[in-house]
Amino acid sequence: MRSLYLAMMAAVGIALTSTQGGALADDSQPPAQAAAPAIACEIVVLHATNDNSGIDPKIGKMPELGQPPFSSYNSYKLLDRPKLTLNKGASATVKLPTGRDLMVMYKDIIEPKKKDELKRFTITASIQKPGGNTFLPLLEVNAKAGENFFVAGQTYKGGMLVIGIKVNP
Amino acid sequence: MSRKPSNVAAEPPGTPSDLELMLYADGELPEERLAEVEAYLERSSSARNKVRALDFSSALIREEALSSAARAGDLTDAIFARIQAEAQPQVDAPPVKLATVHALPVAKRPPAPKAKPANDSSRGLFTLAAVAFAAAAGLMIWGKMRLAPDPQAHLRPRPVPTAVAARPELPPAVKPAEIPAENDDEHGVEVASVNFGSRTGSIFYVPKGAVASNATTTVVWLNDDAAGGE
Repeated sequence: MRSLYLAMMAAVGIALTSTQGGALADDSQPPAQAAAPAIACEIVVLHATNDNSGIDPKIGKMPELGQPPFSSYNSYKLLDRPKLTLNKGASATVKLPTGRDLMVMYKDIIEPKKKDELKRFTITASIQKPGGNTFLPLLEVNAKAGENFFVAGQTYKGGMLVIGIKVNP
Repeated sequence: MSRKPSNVAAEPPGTPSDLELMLYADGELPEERLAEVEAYLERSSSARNKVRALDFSSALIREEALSSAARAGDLTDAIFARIQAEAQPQVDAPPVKLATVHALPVAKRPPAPKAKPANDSSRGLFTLAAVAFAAAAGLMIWGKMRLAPDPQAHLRPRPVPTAVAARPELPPAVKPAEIPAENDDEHGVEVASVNFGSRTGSIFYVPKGAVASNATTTVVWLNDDAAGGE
């Protein structure tokens, strides 16, 4: 009788161990992603013209403005430089001089594939006029921190509007 | 024998030569000379003595040849008898009389029975070892077939998903524009997808400064002519 009891206890113990092993295996999976910290995002709104005024010093160091296709305009003037704080999954809106809205959203973060690479941030942008037509339905990029990307082409006051978006480190 | 002695010319004609006498003794003399030789032998005692001596020598030679042949036959019989006696078990071997034993053809000789020792287990062990070796080889081949990548795998058709999950962030009616097939790994900003809507647009990767540098700035350039800005 005692041996039967011991055998039953051993069987129960084995069963519990295997069940806990499964639970442990499940626990070994990455836990639910913690709330990602918000990121800082900087927007530059430039007015490109050919009025020979040159590049506005307020813009700062931006050598790509001298390269095609930016070089089709010889003057760039800084109109606005708003700074945004973006939470993951939340969007922010910037009112553009053209009357359209620029919507920027921090969508995700991408861990680097190699050790020496930087992580990237998935950012989406769209430009649309409330109650009007949409200029840019959607743009999704994976950007490194500190790297600008530009959306250009909106006509504005004899020139063109250039919007730069950068995730600050 | 071809040279005749010098006194041959003194002998009467029809006298048989020694060769003819030998042929006569052997019974091989031609018939046309047989009567003359026999007549000569009746007349000449010396010729008869010669023939008699030839018969005697022929008999001796014949007898010697027959005895040699008999010895050779006896020797052959003896060898075969001894071989047969050694091949058969000693206990079952009947008494062999060498003189009466005749050689058997080799193909007809009965095979010697092989005695199996009572404690012979090597055959069983060998069978077990062979089975174990075959099983190990089979397992190894099976394992290699499972682990080794199939070199022809890239040539075989792969199953194509019948439905592609729609991206939730894109409206179903909107199709993203074609992304240039460039390697975006070097770009600071990779364009994952872009939707120009009803407009036309381009994506530029503008060098930041020095040509030697691979650093680029991503520019999405749209045409605003249709809609018009301010």
